[in-house]
Amino acid sequence: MTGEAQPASALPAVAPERPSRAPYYLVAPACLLFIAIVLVPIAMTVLLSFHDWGQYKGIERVFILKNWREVVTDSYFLEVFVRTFRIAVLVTLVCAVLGSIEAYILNRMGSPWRAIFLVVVLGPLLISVVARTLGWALLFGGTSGVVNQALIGLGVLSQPIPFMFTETGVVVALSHVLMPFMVLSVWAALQRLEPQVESAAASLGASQGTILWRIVLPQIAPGILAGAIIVFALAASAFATPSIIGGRRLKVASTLAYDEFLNTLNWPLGAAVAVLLLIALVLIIVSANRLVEWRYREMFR
Amino acid sequence: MSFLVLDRLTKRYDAHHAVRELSLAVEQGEFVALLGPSGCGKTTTLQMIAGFVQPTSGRIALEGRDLAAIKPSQRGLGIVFQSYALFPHMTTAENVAFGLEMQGVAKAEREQRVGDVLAMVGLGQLADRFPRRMSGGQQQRVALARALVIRPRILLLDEPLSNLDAKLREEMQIELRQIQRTLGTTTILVTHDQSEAMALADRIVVMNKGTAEQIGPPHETYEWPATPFVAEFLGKTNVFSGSSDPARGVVIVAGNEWPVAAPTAGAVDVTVRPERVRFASVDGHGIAATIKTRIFQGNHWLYQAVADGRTITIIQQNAGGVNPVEGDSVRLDWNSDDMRIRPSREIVS
Repeated sequence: MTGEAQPASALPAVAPERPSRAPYYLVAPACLLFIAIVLVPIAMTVLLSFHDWGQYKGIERVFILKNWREVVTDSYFLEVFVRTFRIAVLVTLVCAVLGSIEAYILNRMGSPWRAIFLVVVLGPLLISVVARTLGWALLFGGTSGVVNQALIGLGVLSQPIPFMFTETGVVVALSHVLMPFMVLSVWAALQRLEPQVESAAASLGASQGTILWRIVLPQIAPGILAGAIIVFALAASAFATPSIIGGRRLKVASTLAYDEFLNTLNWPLGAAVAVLLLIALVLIIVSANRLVEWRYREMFR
Repeated sequence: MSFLVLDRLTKRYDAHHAVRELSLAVEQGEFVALLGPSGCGKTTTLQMIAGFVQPTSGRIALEGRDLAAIKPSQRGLGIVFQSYALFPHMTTAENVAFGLEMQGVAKAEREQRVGDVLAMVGLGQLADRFPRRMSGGQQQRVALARALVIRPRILLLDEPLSNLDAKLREEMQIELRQIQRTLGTTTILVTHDQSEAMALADRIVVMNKGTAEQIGPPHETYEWPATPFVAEFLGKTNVFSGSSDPARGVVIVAGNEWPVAAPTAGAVDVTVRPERVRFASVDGHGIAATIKTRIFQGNHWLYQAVADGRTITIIQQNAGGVNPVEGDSVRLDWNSDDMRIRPSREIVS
C-alpha cells in the first residue's frame, strides 16, 4: 500500500482474477506417477481382456468378446465369484462384530494397558500377510498342524480339524489378517465420542446395555461401516491368504486370475476375470459409501 | 430432615483430598450454588451426588434415603453437563424424549410432555433439528429441557452457562431462575463465576481446597465473608493492616481512627469493599492517597489509588458529580460499619 486514498478499489482488482498455477505444478508429479502405474496398467488389462488366445497361437491382438462371454456364461466362474463375495461378506461380518467389541474394550482400558494392547492389535500389520497366514497353516494344517497334533495326541479328536482348503479356514485367516483395519476405524470413531454423553444417558435412566445399543453404537456406526468397506474390499481382492489356505482346490477371483495368467497362460481370460472383479468391487463400494453418507448425512455435517 | 443431606462427604485421590468433610443440607425447592475456583472440589461433589464418583467416606441422603448403593441411572436426577452432552444422532425431540422412554412413559404422554418442555425453553420450532445444526445457546436449552422433562428430584447444573457469550449468559441466567422458580425443582449449580452464583442461588456454598469456607445467602456471604478467602473470591475487596485499641474503642489504619464497638485487641486485618470507600475532603479524616488510574465503566468509575505503596480499589457511582482525575491527591474514608475486622494473619495469595 502506498498510503494514498484508494485502498478499496486497489485490492480486489488483482487478487481473484488470476489464480496461481503453482498447485497444478505441485500435484503434477503425483498425477503422472498415478497415471503411469495405476491408470495405464488398468487400461492395458481392459484391452487385454478383449484379445484372443489359443494354446498354440498365443495372444492375438484382436477385438472379440470371447473371454467375456466365457466369464459371464460359464457356471464355474459364477461359482468362484459367488464364493469370493460370500467369503468377503463373512469376513466383513466377523471383523465388524469382533473388531467393534475389541475397539470398545481397548478404548475403555486404563493408561498403560491401552497403549500395550493397541500395539498387540496393530502389531500384526508389521508382519507379512504370508507369514501370518502360514502361521494358521502351521497350527491347523492337516495331521502335521501343531493344534491338530496336540488334540489328536490328547485323544480329543480322531480326525484333524478341517481347516486347510475350506472356506471356514479362509474366512478365519482373512478375518485375522484384516481385523486391525476394522479396529482402527472403529477406534477413530470412538475417539470422537464425548464421554459425558454416556453419563448423560445413565442419568436419564438408561442401563449399560441400553447405552451401548442406543447411544454408543449409532454414533460409531459410520466408523464400523467405513471399516467394513475397507475390510470388504481387501477381503474380496485378497490373494495371499486364499492362495495359501484355499490353494488350488478352493479358488477365489484373485487366485483364479493368477492361475489363468501364470499356469494356463491364458492372459486375456485372466484379464477378463480381474476386470470383472474390479468392476464389481467398485460398484459395491461406491454404492455402499453413498448409502453410508446418505444415512448419516446429519452426522457428517 | 432436609431434602438432600451431604454428611461429612470426602473424596480422596491417593494423598490428595478433592473434597474434605463437606456437610450441607438442602431444602426442597432450594437453589444452591457450589462456588469456587477450579480444583476446589465443587465438580467432584456434584459427581458424587449424581453417582458418577464414589465417595471415599461420608454419606449422601436424598429424602432420608442413603444414595450409596443406588446407581446413577436409578437416582432420578436431571443433569445439565458443561458440554451439554447431547446425543448427536438424535433430533431435539428424540433427545428430550429419551429419559421418558427409559421410564416407560407411553408414547402419547411422552409427546405431550416433550412438546410442553420444549415450549417452556422456547425451542418449539426446533424439535426436528439435530444438535450439530444448533447454536450453543439452543443446545444449552435442549440439555436443560432433557434434564427437566423427567421431573427430576434434583436438577444438577455443571457450569451450564460457561460456554455461552456474556450477553446470552445473562439472558439464560434470568430464564433459568424463572424456570426454577416456576417448577420448584431443587437445584444445585456448580460454577466458578461469583456473579452467576449470586444472581441465581438462594444459598451459596463457597468452596476452597475441598472444604466449604462459608454457606449462606448471597448478600450475607458478600457482606459478611467468614474467611479472607471468601472476601477475596466474592467480588473485589481492599485489605488493610491496622491495629486496634479496645480501651478507646477504635481501630487504627494508616494513622486514622475509626470508632468500633468492642474490637479485638492487637494487630488486625481490615477489609473494605471498593464501593464503600468514598473520597473525603483533602484536609479531613481518611487515608491520604494518589489516584493512579481511572476507568469509566458506564454506570460507575473504577479507581485505583496508591497509599504507602499499597493499591486501593474504589468504585464511585456515576451520579453526575465531580470526580477526581488521575494524579489527584485524595483522602479515602468509609463508615465504621463498612469495615470487616479480623485478627491479623499473613495474607496468602
